[in-house]
Amino acid sequence: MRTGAAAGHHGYYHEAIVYDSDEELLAVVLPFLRDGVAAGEPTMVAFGDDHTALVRGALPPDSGVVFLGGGDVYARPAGAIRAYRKLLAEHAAAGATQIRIVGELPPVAFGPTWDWWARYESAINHAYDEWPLWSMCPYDRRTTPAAVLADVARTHPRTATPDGRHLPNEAYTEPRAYLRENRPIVVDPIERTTPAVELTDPTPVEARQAVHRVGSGRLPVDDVDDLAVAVSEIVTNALRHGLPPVRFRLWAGADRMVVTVSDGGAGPTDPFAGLLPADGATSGGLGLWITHQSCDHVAMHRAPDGFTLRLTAGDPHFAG
Amino acid sequence: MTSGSTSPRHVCWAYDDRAAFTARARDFLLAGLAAGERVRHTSTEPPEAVAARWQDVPRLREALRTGAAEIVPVSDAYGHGLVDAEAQVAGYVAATAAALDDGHAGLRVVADATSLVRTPAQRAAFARYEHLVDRFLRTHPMTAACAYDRGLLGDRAVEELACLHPAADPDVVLFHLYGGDPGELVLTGELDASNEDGFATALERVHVDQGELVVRADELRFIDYRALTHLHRHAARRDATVVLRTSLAPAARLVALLGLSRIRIETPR
Repeated sequence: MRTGAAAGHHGYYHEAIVYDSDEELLAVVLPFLRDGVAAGEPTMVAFGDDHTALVRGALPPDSGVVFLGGGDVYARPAGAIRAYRKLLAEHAAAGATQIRIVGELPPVAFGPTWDWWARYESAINHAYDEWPLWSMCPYDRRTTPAAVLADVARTHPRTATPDGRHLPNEAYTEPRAYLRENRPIVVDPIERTTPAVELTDPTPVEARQAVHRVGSGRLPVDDVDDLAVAVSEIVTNALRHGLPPVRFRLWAGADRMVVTVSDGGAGPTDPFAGLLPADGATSGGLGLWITHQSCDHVAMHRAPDGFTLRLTAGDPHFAG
Repeated sequence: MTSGSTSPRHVCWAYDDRAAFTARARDFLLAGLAAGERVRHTSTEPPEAVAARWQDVPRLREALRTGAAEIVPVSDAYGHGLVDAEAQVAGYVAATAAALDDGHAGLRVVADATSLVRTPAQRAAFARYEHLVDRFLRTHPMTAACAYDRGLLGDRAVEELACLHPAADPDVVLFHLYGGDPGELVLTGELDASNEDGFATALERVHVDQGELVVRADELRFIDYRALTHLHRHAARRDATVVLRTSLAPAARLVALLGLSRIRIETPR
């Protein structure tokens, strides 16, 4: 039997917390955690260092709460989904009737990479729905941009409040509808400079060679190799599933390499493309998922004249 | 002209122009004579026509007279229909031994095998022979160039055969899979969506003993999830594991990401 607000709910019970102070955060999180442990439910926290210390300090030493370490969990959306799905499957297999997790994204996620975290927050309503999960995602109203908070309201079915209520979010939008929308992409300033390489209808081999030629000695070898894997998949997808012409552009800065691949098609039809592995390897979905697992940021954009995918290897958190 | 890493004892030529092939074959055989080898020319051309062409080349003309050079019609060398891989290799084992017995440094053969690989069934049989003879060439004093008419066969068919050679003409095939030390295969080049079917087919055709399969991929430049998945499935069919020796870091990450439990990545040295 599930306990608390999610009692009687089937599948994933996904809530936001929008708080104005540490006290408000603790007022929601502490009862959530204590009740979970008391009910014998696996109860976990994935916070950054500051809030981990805050919550640890407010709980007895042997509270039974498990601290996951937020930084590692939230490096990439597709990686977080993969890790959480594994964790949830293990707990469910061990007989958990409910699993409780409270996890916060690092503030850096609210910058130029927010588009893929917004997709994450929406997609997990589907990706975690096969398990009896109750999770809460705290956002600090004082420091979170308004546009991010608007997405939070659209991607979380409910908001948990410090006075113990669980309010439905009127703006909540089903993931399949939300993920088909065009997310705004923040233009990387490097895209306004002349590309180091520009190719039309390249073969995957040519695109990989360009990455290695430009990236060699600039970024760590592993990062360049991973970008070559991603570029190979994205160019292959554009050639196979998109429409000509396929345009490849590559920029190299001091701390990052940026690649855009555009084609005249409409982009992937699967709303979860990139975040969840596609069933069939022929659809291009597995390649896009691998790309999401290795790149430091992947942004997708549909325009009237085609679809563009932007890959970043290195630090994607440029100052606008 | 080579894209393989080992000494190219077994090379694949893809030709579009017959005259260019005959000129190249002549130079290849002349290099063999210079190295003291017995040389053999095999094609569908009547032997008299080849011999007539060689009359202008004193070294070949003389070698034909002494038996240091031979012209063997392809039907005599390989028979008709599907090639019998084992019997064919046995023939070259004997011919190489005979060349040595006669005081030559080895045997060098150029063979236009186009007529032997016109159908898929012929190609499957000949591909198996290519792999077996490659294993023999690796450790014996025989050198071979296998030539295929790209215009007649098409790129895909030539790719099917070229990938089983340690080296081939540029732009013929992006990867090579061939025999290494006993129980081992060598994999070079690049594997991506463009050649995943070719790689899967090649994997089925190469012969290795049962048990753990070691694939030396020290000089592999790129491998994608498709090729790794084919390797994993290949290992599963053999009920064994594949050890892939490569320093390509993404290979290990993809294997972990996709749960390809039949593959173990080892980083060379």
